[in-house]
Amino acid sequence: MDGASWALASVLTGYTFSVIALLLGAAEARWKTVAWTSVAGLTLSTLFAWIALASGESVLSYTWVKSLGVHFSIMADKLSLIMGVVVATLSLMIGIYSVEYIGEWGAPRYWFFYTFFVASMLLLVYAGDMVAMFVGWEGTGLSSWALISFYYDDREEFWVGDPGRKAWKVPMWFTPSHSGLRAIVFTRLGDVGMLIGFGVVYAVLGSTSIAVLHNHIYEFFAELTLRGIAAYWILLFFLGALAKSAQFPFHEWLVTAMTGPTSVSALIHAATMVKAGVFYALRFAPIIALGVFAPFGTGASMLEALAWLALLTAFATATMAIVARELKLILAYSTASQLSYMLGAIFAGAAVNEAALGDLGGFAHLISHAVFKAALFLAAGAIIHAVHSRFIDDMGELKKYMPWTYVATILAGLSLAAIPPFSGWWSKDLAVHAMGEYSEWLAIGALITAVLTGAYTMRMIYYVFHAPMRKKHEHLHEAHPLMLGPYLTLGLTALGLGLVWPWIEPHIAEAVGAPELHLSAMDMLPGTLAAILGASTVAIYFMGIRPIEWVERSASLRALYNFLYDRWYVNSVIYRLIVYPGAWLSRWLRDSVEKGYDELIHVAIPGANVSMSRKVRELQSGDLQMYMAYFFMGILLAALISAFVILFTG
Amino acid sequence: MLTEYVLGYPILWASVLVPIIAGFINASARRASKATHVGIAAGSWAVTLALLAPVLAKVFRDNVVAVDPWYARTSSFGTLGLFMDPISALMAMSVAVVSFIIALYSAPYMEHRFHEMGSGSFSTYYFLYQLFTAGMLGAVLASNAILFYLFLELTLIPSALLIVLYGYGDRFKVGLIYLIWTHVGAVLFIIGMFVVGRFDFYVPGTGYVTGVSHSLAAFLLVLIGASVKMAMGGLHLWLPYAHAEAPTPISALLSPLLIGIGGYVLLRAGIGYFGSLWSEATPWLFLWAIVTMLYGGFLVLSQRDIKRLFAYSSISQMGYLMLGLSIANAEAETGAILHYLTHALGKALLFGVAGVFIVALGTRDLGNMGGLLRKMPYTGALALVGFMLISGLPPTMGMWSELYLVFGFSKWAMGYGLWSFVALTVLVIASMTLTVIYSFTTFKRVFYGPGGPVYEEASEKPARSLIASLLVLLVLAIIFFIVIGWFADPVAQNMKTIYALR
Repeated sequence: MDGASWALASVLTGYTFSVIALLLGAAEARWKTVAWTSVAGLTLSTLFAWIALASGESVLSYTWVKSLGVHFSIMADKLSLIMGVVVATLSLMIGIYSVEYIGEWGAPRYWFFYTFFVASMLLLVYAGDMVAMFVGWEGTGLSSWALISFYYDDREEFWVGDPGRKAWKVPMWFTPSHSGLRAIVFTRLGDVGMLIGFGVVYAVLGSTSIAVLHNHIYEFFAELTLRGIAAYWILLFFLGALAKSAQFPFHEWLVTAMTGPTSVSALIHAATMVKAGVFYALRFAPIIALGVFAPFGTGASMLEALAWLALLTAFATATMAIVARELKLILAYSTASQLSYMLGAIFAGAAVNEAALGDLGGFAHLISHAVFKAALFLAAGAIIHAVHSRFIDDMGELKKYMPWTYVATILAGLSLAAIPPFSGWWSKDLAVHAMGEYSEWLAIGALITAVLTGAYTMRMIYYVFHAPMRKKHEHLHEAHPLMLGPYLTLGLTALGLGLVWPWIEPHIAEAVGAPELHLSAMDMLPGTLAAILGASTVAIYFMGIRPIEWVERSASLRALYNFLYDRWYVNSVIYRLIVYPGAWLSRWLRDSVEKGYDELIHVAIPGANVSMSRKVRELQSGDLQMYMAYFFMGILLAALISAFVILFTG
Repeated sequence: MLTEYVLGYPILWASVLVPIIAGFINASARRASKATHVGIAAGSWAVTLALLAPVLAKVFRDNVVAVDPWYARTSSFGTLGLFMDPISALMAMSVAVVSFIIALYSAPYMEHRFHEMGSGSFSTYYFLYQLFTAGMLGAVLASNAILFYLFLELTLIPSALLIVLYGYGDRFKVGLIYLIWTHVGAVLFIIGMFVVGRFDFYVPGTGYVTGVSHSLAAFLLVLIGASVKMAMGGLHLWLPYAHAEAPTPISALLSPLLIGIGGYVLLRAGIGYFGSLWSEATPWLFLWAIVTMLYGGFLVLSQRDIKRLFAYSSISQMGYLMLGLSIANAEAETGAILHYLTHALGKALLFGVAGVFIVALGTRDLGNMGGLLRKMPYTGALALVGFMLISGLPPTMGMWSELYLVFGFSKWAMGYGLWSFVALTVLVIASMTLTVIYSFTTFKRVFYGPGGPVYEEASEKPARSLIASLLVLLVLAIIFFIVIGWFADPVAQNMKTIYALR
């Protein structure tokens, strides 16, 4: 079998086991049976993904819907094969962690959506057709919705935000069911735009195949340019990716998605699904750059705008992470920020016709981030589980009680902070380098964000592991080996990847068709300095300085703090501008328009008829001659109408 | 031109007559048990499905027009007969499948309803049920507007009676409102056809009748008449009453099956007869579609009664149908017809779920619900798939109808320059996202959150047989997703050849 067949096998295995999990649940099997059966399925899926990588590139295609030019096709190229391995392997490791972490409550539902997610994500990655990709894409969104609201009874320990806190009178705490709704609405909004974008491709080329788009990209862009919609089409086409990968202001759904179980946050909202938008950009940005820079191409300005949007997102979410008090929320902000590095690199590269270079930065950072962020989340899950609080100021001194968790967090955290020689150091420099190809200012913005990244990472580690413990906890202990194993492995991988990076990078470069890039020491220096500068801010905590005390004393600092803590008021703006007016409109339509109209038609007009009918009744005198007269008048009228119809319409 | 295939036996007539005959048997067997009645009714639909199956297979596979050998040529009303091309095949399949399943669903539900009312007769119920559903099948197979109209009237009286006899609330008044509104709609439609003076959609041996009229008055009559039937925005007032207060199995037929037939006839008579006027009207019809989607969708959000909520959702869904119809290219029209099937499955599921609540919880009020997923997981799964269908999420066939609609839209809208394109896309994104918003908001209100007042007592046990029949619809929604090419491709091909749509 060739690569594509194995890839397909990997996808179908995932779907099969999701059905099995469902049936086991229906048969009321023991929760451990459901869990381990699913893990077995994930193991098979992962195995097939690795075999696919070893088997090499190939394509498989079956006609699905001829009239739309839709094929169910698998495109196993270097990019998808590597991505598939990353996705499947992480799913397996996080799956193993989940067995203990999830336990009994809701197990069949969890494992159904978990395996359904993995299969959908793999389909999204391997698909060679936009619609086939869309099927996987929506599947991941549905699973994301279901798993964010996994604790659908809205128990308080899984809320995000401080209960009771409001910003501009908008509540700033979120229940699991509310967060799930936000996620599916935000992402679905982008998806409809994306679908319209696909529709334009279909309208011009009569196909939704990625290869066809690639091969006819010049004609396609010539057509768009002729109609003056090239830039707008690029926006539509990427709208789904922007929503999925949490670009400003869509990042709102991602931060509240932390109501889901931490294993879900690790897999779906850090390592894989939110990368779908990045992967999509990796896939399409080089193709679109070809079209944009073709003789009749236009639309580069939109790519530039998207690169700047990425920087805005990276910076904004990093500033929010600096002040956040919830462990998972810090990591969520950080995820949005790091995703933006990837997208920023990809769009900036494409905007200057250096798409391969941008893809290199984006893909490298995608892989290293997947590893270290998954480790951080899984460790966070164990920590929150141990201390029964999601707030970092309830933690502290955990170094003593959870030493291995500490090691894993340090390894992964240093990678996030981009400290040499961790994998994040290499990949972030590649991403910043690509941004610099387009604009030095963009790169400088990314470096400033890197300082913030180092600072919030270290702040988090300090509060969790070093700070004096404020609250006494009973029975603090290291995590269960089945939970610890995966994240310790991932933490070590973050270091290991960094150590062997020079041997890995050529493969990544090959996957995105980039020439091998040797960044000189001078290229690496600014990024390294930024990271070290950021990380060294942790010193102030060890010196006993508490920046929060300055905030308490100064009104202007307090305003800034609230601005950051309440997420730049983006959430409040969205609710005040769209959600609340929408709800008001709905009630107004119900109580005024619909009700008024209903009364007019069903009460007022029939009422008028009743009074008219009284008059008509007076005609009913009982006089036979009068009746005869009415009768003949009626016949005459009917005859006239018939004559009219026969004469003039025949 | 499509190849015509005259059937050796009057299978199409038989498929319509078998349920009608069964209905009369139901009516005469007044002493028979519940099981006998449901056996006769569902059995007749099983026979109809078996009769239709080979014809459907032939029509879809070979892309031909199957014509029933029993047709009558008249001098003034054209040729009265039944025919089946891929378009009407898809409609007929939807009607037959849903009628079959709801016939099964009816038995336990109506038993509950009769018990609640203190009286009621399966004999009467199934008699009316059979006439109603067979009328719909006849309407979508009719090759001629007169025959179509007669079948439509056949649906009207029984369905109104079902509301009056077994409905909820002020059921006599509701039945009257329903009767008057939709009867006026049907009459306006047929007057429009009389103004044109032609009635045939398809003439055996000759082919399709298209592009025969430029009369604005006739166009408006046909459009308005069919739109009343569809409950398009502004003409929708009767629908929330009828669909909310009808006995729930009847809601599950009225909502997805009957109103969509208005959309179907707009394809045959509207686009088919008035091609050029229709293209001129496209922007207006498109806006009307958007208004309907938004108006219905916004009203869903503030409903408390779950059946009324689904009724407003149906109005919004008719906007989807009109969206496809208005654009008048092959993809969008195919999307409209596919969306009929999507909505048939989806809304039958959702009204079915509403019935589960009525039987198991004794309430329709969302304020009483909440947190029900724990107590009613199967109902939750059914509702989720129903919402996924109307929201266009895979792996349900809703994705495909939405895909066709959107692709048709893109093809049309990108031709009007940048700013029109921007404005039109914003409208479509807003109205389609609204469906997701109200679907998942409703799901949250019913199944998520802390338990509501009925939570403690909630159980699926009293509604097991209802749930079992609905599971069939759920499975079909997924099967159709996979094999959609079998149906969609011939339909799309037809749109191009018959109506010269590009």
